[in-house]
Amino acid sequence: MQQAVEADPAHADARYLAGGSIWLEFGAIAQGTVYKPRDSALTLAKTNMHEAYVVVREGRLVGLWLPVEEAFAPMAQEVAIDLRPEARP
Amino acid sequence: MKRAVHYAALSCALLTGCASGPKPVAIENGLPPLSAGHARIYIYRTSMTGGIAVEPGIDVNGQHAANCTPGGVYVADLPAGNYVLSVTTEVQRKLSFALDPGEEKFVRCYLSYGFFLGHGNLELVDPAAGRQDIKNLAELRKQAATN
Repeated sequence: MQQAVEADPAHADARYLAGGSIWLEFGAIAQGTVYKPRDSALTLAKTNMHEAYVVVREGRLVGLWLPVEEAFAPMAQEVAIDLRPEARP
Repeated sequence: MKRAVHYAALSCALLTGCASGPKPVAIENGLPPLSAGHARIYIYRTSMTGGIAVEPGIDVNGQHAANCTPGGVYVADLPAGNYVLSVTTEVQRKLSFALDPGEEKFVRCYLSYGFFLGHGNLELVDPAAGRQDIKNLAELRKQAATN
């Protein structure tokens, strides 16, 4: 991910996604493509904490995917996210 | 001299709970390689967090697995899959995550203010930060892989 992004899920605490972080394509759901963080931890925090992956559609962060609950949590507001393939040495 | 030792032991017990065990230079270096299809979790609490007299239990998928002990880290090798950790004081807080084979995850336990007791909380920590956190903690119990 080229630039830092603030993920602001509806009804949950916002999370800061660091620029330069690396994300691996995990799969696809109806809402978009799911990416899992490689070297960082992302959670959706409500009363409890849930590990989360980002869901991206057409260059916009549209929500979070909760792999254990197999549930989609939409963003309160979608934001641009710049994910580019990692440069190979 | 003997009195000094007693004071040291007493203050240790009163102030920190003083987790004892191998220091984790040995933890990461001394752990066996992961078995095929397994992942490793570290559950820890730094000694700097509040509520030091409270050490709530931590369940992994409903089975008691660790305590939220100041200055201590638990290491568990688990089959890849989905896990829910819970810590209970006045309230219960849960953390859910998926483990892939070969993966390592770091879970920090900490206490926040409650009405009578501190509330236990669990959070997933970036691996780099988790490795740094456990450097000065003591390993409390190494768990055998389940299943």
